[in-house]
Amino acid sequence: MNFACLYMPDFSLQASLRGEPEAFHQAIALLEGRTVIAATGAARAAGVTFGMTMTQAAQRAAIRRRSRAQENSIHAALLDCARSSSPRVEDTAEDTALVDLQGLEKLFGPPSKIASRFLQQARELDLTVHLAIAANPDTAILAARGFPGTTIIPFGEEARKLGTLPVNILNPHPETLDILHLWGIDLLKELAELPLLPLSERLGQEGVRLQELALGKRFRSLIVSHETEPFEESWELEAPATTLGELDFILASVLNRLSKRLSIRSLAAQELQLRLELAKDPEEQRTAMGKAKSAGTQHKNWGSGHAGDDELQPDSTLVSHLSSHHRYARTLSFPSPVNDACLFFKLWRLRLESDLPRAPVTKIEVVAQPGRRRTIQGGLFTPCLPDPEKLELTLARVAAVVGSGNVGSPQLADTHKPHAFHMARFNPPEDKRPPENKRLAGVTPPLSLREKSTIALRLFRPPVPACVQLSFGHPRRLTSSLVRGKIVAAAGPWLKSGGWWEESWDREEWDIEIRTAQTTALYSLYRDCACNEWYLQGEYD
Amino acid sequence: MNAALLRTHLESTLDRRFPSPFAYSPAIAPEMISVPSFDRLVGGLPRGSITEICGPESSGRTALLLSVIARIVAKGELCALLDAQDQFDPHSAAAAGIDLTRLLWVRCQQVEQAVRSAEWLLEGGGFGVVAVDLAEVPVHSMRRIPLSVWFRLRGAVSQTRAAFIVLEREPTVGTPASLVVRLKGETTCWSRWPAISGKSALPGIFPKGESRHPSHARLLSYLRSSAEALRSRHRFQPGARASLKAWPAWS
Repeated sequence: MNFACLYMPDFSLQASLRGEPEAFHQAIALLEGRTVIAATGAARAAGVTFGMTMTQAAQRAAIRRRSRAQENSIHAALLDCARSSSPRVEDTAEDTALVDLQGLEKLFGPPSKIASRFLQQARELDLTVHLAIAANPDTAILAARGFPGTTIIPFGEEARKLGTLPVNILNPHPETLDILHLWGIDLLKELAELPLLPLSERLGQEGVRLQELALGKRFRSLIVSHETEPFEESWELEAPATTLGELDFILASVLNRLSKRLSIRSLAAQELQLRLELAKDPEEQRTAMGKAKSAGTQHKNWGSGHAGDDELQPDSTLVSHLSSHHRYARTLSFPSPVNDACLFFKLWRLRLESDLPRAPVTKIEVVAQPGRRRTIQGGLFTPCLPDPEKLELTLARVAAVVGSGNVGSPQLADTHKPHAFHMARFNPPEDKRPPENKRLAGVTPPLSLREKSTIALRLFRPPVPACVQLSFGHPRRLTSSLVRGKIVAAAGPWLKSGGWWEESWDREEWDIEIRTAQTTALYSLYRDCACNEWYLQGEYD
Repeated sequence: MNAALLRTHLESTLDRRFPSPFAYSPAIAPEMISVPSFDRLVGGLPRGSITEICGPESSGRTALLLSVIARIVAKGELCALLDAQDQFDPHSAAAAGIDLTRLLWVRCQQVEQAVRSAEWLLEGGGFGVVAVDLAEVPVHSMRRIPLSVWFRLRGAVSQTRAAFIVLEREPTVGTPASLVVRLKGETTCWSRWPAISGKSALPGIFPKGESRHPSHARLLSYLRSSAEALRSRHRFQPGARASLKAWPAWS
C-alpha cells in the first residue's frame, strides 16, 4: 500500500465557500459568466441544475461568482497538505493530489493513522477531501473520486472494492462510453469480467486500459511535482471593501490560512507581501462609497489621508487618485522567519492604518517568502534579547506613531559631509559573544569604555540661525533664538567643504563657549560661506 | 535643610514604625557603568527602575548617557534611545564606542510620542537600557506629564531587567524615580599650544588684551562637571558629590 490520493469534491464550490462551513448548507449556485457550474446540495434540492442561466438560478439560490484566484489558492493548499508528509507528491489535477507513502509507515504508523493525519491537516486548511490509499496510483485516484470519506484498499482487493463504481469514473472517450452502455455495462465489475481478447478486438488499447483500471492492476510511475515558492493566498471580494473594518475580517482569514499552510510544512515567513487590487471603475467606486455612506460606518475610510480621519472624502477627490493607483503593494520583512497569524494581522493592520489604499479594495493577495524556523539555544550567560516577534510588533507600533523612517538603527554614511548618517532597519546581530569570552580571547575594549566619557554633540535639526559679532575675525558675541551672550572662548575656524557634484557644503566651523547669566555652555557654530550666514549646529553636552 | 536631607531624616525616623514603605530590596544588582566616580557616588546604575539624569546645558548629561549605553551594548545587550527633540548625533555615539547596530533610535517630534514609545518598548522587554532624552524639553512641558504616567512606566520597567533613564533639565519624575542625579558644568578646559612670542608675525590677529594663542590652534580639551545624587534607593550619601570628566572624541 504505497499511494494516497487526496481528492476535493466540488472543487470550484469549495474554493468559493472556503472558510464558510455554514454556507454549504445554504442554497448557493456558482456561476461562471452567466451559467451555473456548481451548486450546493440545498440549491440542487431547490431546483438549480448545471447549465442554468443566472436569472433562473437567482430565483432559487444565492449567487456566487467563480474565482480563479481562490481556486489557485485552494489547489496550493491541497498540495501543501499532501507535501506535509512526503516530498514525493504528484499534482494530478487541480482537485487531486497523489502522495507516495513509501517508508511513511515507519514514521507515522499504519495506513489508517496516515489517513487520519492527512484528514486532520486538511481540516486545518479548511479543505474537505476524500482520501483513498491503495497499492497503485490509479486505483487510489478512482477510489478517492468514487467513495466519500476515507477508503483503504488492501493489496489484491482492488477489483472487488472498485467494482461498484460506475464506468464513467474512468473518464473514457465519449464514443467508448456509449458502446459500453450499449453493451449494458454500467459498473466497473461488469467491465472487469469481460474477456480481454474480444474486448481488445472491439475497443482496441483503450478497452484494455479501461479494464486494467477497473481491475486495479495498472501500474505507473508517479510524476513528482516540484515545490513552487512563494506561498500565496488570495481572496476576491464580492463587493469592494470601502473601510478598514470590512477588510479586517477577510485579511485575518487569508493570513490565518497562509500561516496554517506554512505551519503544516514546518516553515515560517521571511517576508510578507500584501497586494491589494483596487477598484478601477469610478462608477464602481461611487457605488461603494455610497454603500459606505448609507451604512453610516464609523470605520476609517480609504482615501481619508490619515489614520485618525473617519470622514469620507468627496467622491471627486477619491476618483482623481484612481487612474494611476489601482494596485497597492507593501512588503514586510522579518529579521528572522516567523509564523504567527495574529502577529501578521496586527502588523498589517498597523501598516494599513498609517498607509491607507487610495480606493476601495476588490481583491486581497498575500505572498509569503518561506524560510526555515529559527532555532536558538539559549545560554545561561548570554544577554537576554527581545523576542523577535514581539519586537517586530513593538517597532511597528512605534513606527505608526512617529513614522516608519524615524525608527531604526543609525548608520554612519561613508562621506565627509558633517553629521551624515542614514537610518537602517533595526536588526541586531545575534551572534554577540558574552564579554567573558572576549576577555579570554584577549580582545581589548575600545578606548571609550576604559573609564572614559566622550563629550557628545546634541544637534539642532535644523540648525538655528544666529547673529554673530566679530572682532578681528573672531566671534565675540552671539544672539539667537536659543541662546545669547558673550563668547568667552572660541576655537577655530576649521574649514570644511565638499559635495560640489551634488549637494555642496562650504563652511567654517567654530567651537565656542558662551557665558550667560545662569550658566556657561559650549556650542558648535558654523558660518555658511556660500551665503555668509551663521548657524548654531549643536550643543556640546 | 534641603529636600534630600529632609527626606532621609523622615525615612530614618519613620522606618522603624512603618517599615514597608521605605523597605527597598533591589531584585537586580545595580550595573557598574565604568565611570568610577559615578559608580562610587551612587553604587552603579539600578536596573528595573527609573533613573533621572538632570542638569543644564553642557553639564555632561549626554556624555554620561552615552557612557552607560556603550557599557551595556558592549555586554551584548540592546539599548533604545527615544529622542524627544531629535538631537541625537550618531557620530558622537560611535565615538563613545557604541555599536550602533545594537542601538534602537526613535526620532520623536513630541514628548508624548517618546513616552508612549518607551512604554511599548518596556512592555516588549529585552532591552538593557531604555533612555528617554527630554534634555531640551522646557520644564513647564515636562510638568504637564501626569505623575500616573511615571508610575505606569515604573510598573512596566520593574517587570524587566532594563534600566530606564530619563535625561532632563530639572527632576520632574518624582517619587517613581529610584535614582536622581543632578549634573552641573564646572570647568571647560581648552588645550593651548605654545603662544607666539614677541610681536605677532600677523599684525591684527591678536586684539589688545587677548591671549597670544591662535584660535585655530586651540582645541576643546575636556569638560568637567560635578554630580550630586538627589535620591538613591541603593546608596545615598547626602551632600556627596562626584567629579565627572568628559573628553572630546579626538583626544
